[in-house]
Amino acid sequence: MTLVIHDGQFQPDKLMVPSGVKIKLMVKNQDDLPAEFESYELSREVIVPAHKDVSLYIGPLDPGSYPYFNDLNHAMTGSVVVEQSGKKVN
Amino acid sequence: MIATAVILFREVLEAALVISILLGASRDIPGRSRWVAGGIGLGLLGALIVAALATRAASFFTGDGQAMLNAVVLLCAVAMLTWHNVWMSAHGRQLAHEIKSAGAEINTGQRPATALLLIPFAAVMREGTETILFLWAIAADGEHRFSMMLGGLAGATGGILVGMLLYRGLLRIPGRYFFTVTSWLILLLASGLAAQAAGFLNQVGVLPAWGNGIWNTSAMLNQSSLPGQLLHILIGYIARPSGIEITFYLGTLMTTWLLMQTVGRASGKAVSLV
Repeated sequence: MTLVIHDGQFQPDKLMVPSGVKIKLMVKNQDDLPAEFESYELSREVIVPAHKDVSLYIGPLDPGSYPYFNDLNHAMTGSVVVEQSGKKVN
Repeated sequence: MIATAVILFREVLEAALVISILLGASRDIPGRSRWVAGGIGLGLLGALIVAALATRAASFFTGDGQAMLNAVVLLCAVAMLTWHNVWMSAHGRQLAHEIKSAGAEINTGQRPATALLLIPFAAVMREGTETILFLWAIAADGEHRFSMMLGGLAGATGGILVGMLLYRGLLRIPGRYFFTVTSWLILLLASGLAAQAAGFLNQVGVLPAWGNGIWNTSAMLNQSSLPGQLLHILIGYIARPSGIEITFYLGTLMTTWLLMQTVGRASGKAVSLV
C-alpha cells in the first residue's frame, strides 16, 4: 500500500484496506517540507523527511474509518478505510 | 507564522514538561542543574545528528530505524525515571533533611546523576529531531522565512514558560506531600513513555498489537485537544490504546511501584504513595 504526499495533500485521501490483516504502508513524501504521518486512531507516528520514503505497519484492523494527519501541518488529513474481508479480528 | 508557533510550542512543551518534573523531583540533589543542562545540550546535539542523517544518509534513520531509535530512547528514559524514583524513595527524605542541617556530609551512595543527564537527553533528542527537520525546511524556503522563524521562536518561548510554571508550582507543594506528588508524577510519566515505546515497537512489527483500540475514549476526551495532549505528555493518555500499550503501561506502573515499596521499606524511609 502506498500513500503519497504531494502539493500538501495526502494521495489518496481515503486509503481502502481489507480488515483483519497486517499491512505494510509506504509513505512517500514528494514535497519540499518534512511531514509527520500521525494517527491517534491507528496509534502511529513517523517523520517523513522531504523527498523520502518511509514504511510502517498498520493493523490488523476492524472495519471502520481511521483518520490520520500531518502533525507538522494539521490542514493535511486523510483516513484509512477498513472494509470487511470476512475475517474477524478482536 | 501562527502554524510554526503552534508546532514549536507543542514540541518544546513536551520536553519542557518532562524536564520541569525532573527538576522539581530532584530539587534536593546537589549539582542537579549541571547534569540536567548537560543532558539538554547533548540532546540538542543528538537531535542535530539524527536530523542530518535522516535527510542525507540512507534510510536507516527514517521509518523502521526512526521508530526503533524512538523506542530505545523512550525505554532508556523509562529505566532512568524508574531508577530515579526508586532511589528517591530510599534517600529522598534523608537528603532533604541533611541539606537543611548546614555542612552535613551527604553520604547517600551513588546519586542518580546518570538519570539526571539521560532523561533530559532523551526528551530533547526525541522532540528536537522533528523540530530541527521542520526548521531546516523553513530556512531553506526563502519566502516567509523571517516571519516563520519569529513564530517558531515565540512558540518555543511559550513552551518553556509553561514548563517553568509547572516547575514553580511543584516547588510550592508543601514538604510532606512533595515526595508523594513528584513520585506519582514520575511514575505516571514513565508508564506513559513505556506505552509510547510499545507503540513504536508495534509500528515496526517487532511486537504484536494484542488488539487495536481496546477501548475508545475519543468522544469523551479527544487526544488532539489541548487537555488531551497535555494528559498524553504527563500521564500517557491514549484515547484508543492497543493491548500492548496497556500492557507496557501497567507493567511499568506496577514494577516501579513495587520496587519503590521494597527499596523504600528496606532503607526504613519508605515514601508512602497513598
